[in-house]
Amino acid sequence: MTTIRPYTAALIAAVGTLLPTVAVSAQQATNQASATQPGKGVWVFRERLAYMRFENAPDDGGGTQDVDQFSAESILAYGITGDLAVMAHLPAKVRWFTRGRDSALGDRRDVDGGLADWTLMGQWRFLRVDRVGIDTARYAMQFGVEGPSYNEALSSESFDPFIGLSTTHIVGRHGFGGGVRYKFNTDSVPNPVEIGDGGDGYLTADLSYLYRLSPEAYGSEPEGSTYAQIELNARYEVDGDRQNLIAPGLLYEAPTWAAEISVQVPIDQRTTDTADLRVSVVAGVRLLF
Amino acid sequence: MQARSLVNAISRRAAVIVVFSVSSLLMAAGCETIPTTGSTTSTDAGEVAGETVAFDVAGLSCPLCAHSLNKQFDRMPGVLDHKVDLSTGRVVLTLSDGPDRPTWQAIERAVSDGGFTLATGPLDAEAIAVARRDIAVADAIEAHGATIYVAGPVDAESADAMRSQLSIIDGVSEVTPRLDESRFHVAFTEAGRVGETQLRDAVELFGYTVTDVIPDGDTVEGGAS
Repeated sequence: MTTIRPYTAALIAAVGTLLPTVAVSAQQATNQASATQPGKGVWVFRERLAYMRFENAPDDGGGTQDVDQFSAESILAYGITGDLAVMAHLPAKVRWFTRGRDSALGDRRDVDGGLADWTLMGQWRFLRVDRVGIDTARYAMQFGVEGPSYNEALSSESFDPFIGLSTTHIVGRHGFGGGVRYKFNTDSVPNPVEIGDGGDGYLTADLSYLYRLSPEAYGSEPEGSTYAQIELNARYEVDGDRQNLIAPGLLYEAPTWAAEISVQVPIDQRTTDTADLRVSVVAGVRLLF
Repeated sequence: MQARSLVNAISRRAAVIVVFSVSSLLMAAGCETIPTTGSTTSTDAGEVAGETVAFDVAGLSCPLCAHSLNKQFDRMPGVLDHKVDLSTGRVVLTLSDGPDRPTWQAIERAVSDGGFTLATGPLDAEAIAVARRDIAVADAIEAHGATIYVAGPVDAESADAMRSQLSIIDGVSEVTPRLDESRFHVAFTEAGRVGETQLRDAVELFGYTVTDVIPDGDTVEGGAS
């Protein structure tokens, strides 16, 4: 394992926040894709900051270790047409590893960090059923590839394509979302910590519900909206690792920007090749321009 | 292990297929032709009559959606002003009389490019009037008049211009400037017909800042007239 100085890792993460990547758009739950996307010629920049706590991650000495991870994910999306958008996603991660006294590598803390694998993605909305007023039902497919950053600790050093489907339904103050995605992993991240970083196929399935807390009804002038959100996120690797998560959160949308926060905790998980997730806290901002 | 090898082999083949498909779709998107929105002086079927056009759009479900649609009209030649009313989905465009005046097809295309669906064709003059009134009524002042307070001193020439601008608002019956107190009193013909935004816009058009708009004390809600 490469050991780097903490401030170097933090700097890399900070730089990662400035690099261009890809994102989606309105009334989208924090931890999943939606069928909403920027219109033609519209850019959306999204920055997600996340803290994740893992336990029982495999280490090089055959033991286990705990991991505290901070990540900054930059996402940039652009609408090519009203129903086709492209997105780029670049995450930077810093991990602090804490080994127990029983580890063959000894009782110590190490730090890893750098740019993790990037993603290029297209989203095609193939069906849009708009009703007069705000109600709408939208369906989209995602397709893309996760490419290597060649960071020796964080990269799978492979090109892993994925496909997905998502839907968004908005009825008055209620928003419903759902989606599935399958990533054809062709190689594994060394000592994978997060589920999905192994060398086997990776399936995600998500459901979300958003309730508009305010305003009760829109006025003629643009005004911000506040939503309460709850998500169910299921993650499965072909080798059997699985995590089922629940994620309450809040989303605020102004006419040209949005802010979000979500806390994700497991309700059921079984991992052998990757680590157990204890908690994930995500805060993000989206900017339209 | 054999099953895992098989999955990985399938994954590698699928990777090639997906990457090829993504490339093809993106290339196709990049080659899409964009219709010309200018030079529409001919009397083709798509010509839009009148200074303003109003229509309804479906699927505007959030503030970001309204912004996304506004962006389409921001860059559309020949659109002098636009208003998207999220509460009703109604859009009102003010169009130029020049050669860049957009066709109805171009407007329809802009709505689609924003990611939304046109719910109606161009509405008639009466509907436009209702649309304008709806927009005004959404922040209407439920009183028979209001006082507009302006930041800083107002010179006489600007006051005359503002008074003229306020006077042409539908529903305004009388405008009384008080320059010594940097305020205007506006009397209405009927409570609830004039929007606060209309009053602010009429003053701020001349570079002044409105600090407050206070409805008259004889509010309709209170039962007095």
